Parts: sequence; C-alpha cells; structure tokens
Amino acid sequence: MKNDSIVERLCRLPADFYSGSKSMVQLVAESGINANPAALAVASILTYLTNHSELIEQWLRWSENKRVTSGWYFMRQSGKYVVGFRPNGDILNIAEPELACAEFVVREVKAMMAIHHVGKLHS
Amino acid sequence: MMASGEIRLSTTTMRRMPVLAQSQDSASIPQASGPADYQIDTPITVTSQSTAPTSFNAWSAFLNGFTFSNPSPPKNYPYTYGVFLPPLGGVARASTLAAGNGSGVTVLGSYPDYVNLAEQLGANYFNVPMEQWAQMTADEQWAANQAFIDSAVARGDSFVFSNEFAVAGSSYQRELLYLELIGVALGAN
Repeated sequence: MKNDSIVERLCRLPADFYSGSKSMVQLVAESGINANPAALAVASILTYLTNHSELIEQWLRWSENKRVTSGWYFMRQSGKYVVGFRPNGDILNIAEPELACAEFVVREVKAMMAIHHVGKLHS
Repeated sequence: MMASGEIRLSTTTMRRMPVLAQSQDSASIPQASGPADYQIDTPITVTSQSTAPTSFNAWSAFLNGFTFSNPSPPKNYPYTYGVFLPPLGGVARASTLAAGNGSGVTVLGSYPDYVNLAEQLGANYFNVPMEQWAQMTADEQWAANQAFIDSAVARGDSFVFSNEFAVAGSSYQRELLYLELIGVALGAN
C-alpha cells in the first residue's frame, strides 16, 4: 500500500471507527502501517490534515470520548491546543490545530500499533 | 453560540457541585427530549430512580450482576484481580461497576478532565485499560459506559460533571441524554 493511502486511512481513523463496527486497533492494523511504519510521520499527517481540516474535530472527539485512566489526549484549551499523556507524561501546547492534531495522531497510532503487537504476541 | 445538540452546564452549576441524587415519583420523571440546544440553570439537582433501569442489554446486565463478593467468575472468561474481562472484548472494573468505591459520587465528563476530577474527589469514574478500550468497537464502548452509568444510578450515586460543555455527538452528551432517558433529571431546583 502506498504511503499516501496509509496516511489517508490513519487520518480518517475516528471517522471510520464511529461509522463502522471495527475497533481502532483493527483499523490501524488494516491501514497498512505495520508493513510500512515510515508512513507514520508528523510531516505527512500534517499535510493531509491541512487539506482535510474537518478531520481534526473527529480526533478531538475520539480523545474526549476516551474512558481510560492512562493515555494520550488532544484538547482545546484557552485558545490553543494541548496534546498530552495522562497521568504524568509530556504536554505540548500548540497554537495550530493541524499541527497539534498531527502530533496526537502519530502518538495515538503508535500506541495502537503497540497494543496490536502485544496482542499478536499473546495470541 | 452552541452547536446543535450541544449541552451546556452553567458555571454556577459547576461550582456548586457535587449534587445529590434523590429518588422521585415516576410520574415526575422527565422524558428525554433528544438532542437539542439547552442550558441547565443553577443550582442543578440530579435526581435518580431508586431502582435500576430495566433497559439493560444482555452485556450490561451481566456486568451489573457481577461483584467481587462472588469470587467465582464464569468459566472461560479471563479474570484478574480488579479487572473483569467480558466476552465482547471490553473490560470493566467490576468493583467500580457493581459496588462503587463507597464515595457515593460518580463523575462524568470529557477525557481527561473527568478522570482528574474524580481522582481529586475520590469519586467513582468509568475507566477501561487503554489496551482494551482500543480493541472495543464503538458499540461495545458505549455498552460498557451505559452499564457503568446504570450501576451508578442503581447505587443512588450523586453525579458530578467535570465539563461545562457537552459537545453534540460526544460520549459526554450521550451520557447526559442517557441519564435523562433512564429517569435522572438534570434541571434547576
């Protein structure tokens, strides 16, 4: 699968998740990223999101809908965007929504890939 | 201006929380009106039915029926201390779902705010390990969330809300609408 196609599928993960019946881990696995991890880069995600800014709301929604104690989050706060890891991780304050979202997508997808990898090891 | 379907809790409401859950006559239980713009005036009272709702799906009913007082989980279900793994692939902390932590308070809201507030208050909150959450479908996530709310209502917990706004289409909005649907009134005193 070409990088552009992988990037598109990654950027559309929340939309596909909420409109379908697959888990995020399944969708990440089906994106082709595991065979081509180099496609997961802030620059390429940023380029796609800049041209499809409507997807940023979907990622904000995915983040706020989480019901977990530990994990990455992406939120609006006081006119800027925050990407962080709860409970005690890094916090990025970013003015541009596209860049903040790209930073979140990369971190979140990496987390999904790790979950998928661990799941395969245990299966 | 609020987007269509957004729910707004007033700032005074937020300052006055926590609020108490109290039983009320079924005749006075409001009906859910569906997604619509509205703002709840202050002070807010959250009122719940004293009995558990009857609209459980099979999974949520199963989750609600599970407690740590019964140390014999169903055969073939993975089980570790503090965590019960239901057959649909989701995970629920059974101690929180069934019995709560004894605080009598449950926090709802947006991630990560609701977790931060719940930990400050020592309150109940819904949480699933990320590695399980990411392997659940949207329907499974909501079913688990619904089961948690059902348990909180059945316990008679007070509800505290971590966020003033519930964005249209968000899980937080869905939680608030579900509370109304099962007879929990969100309104002014």
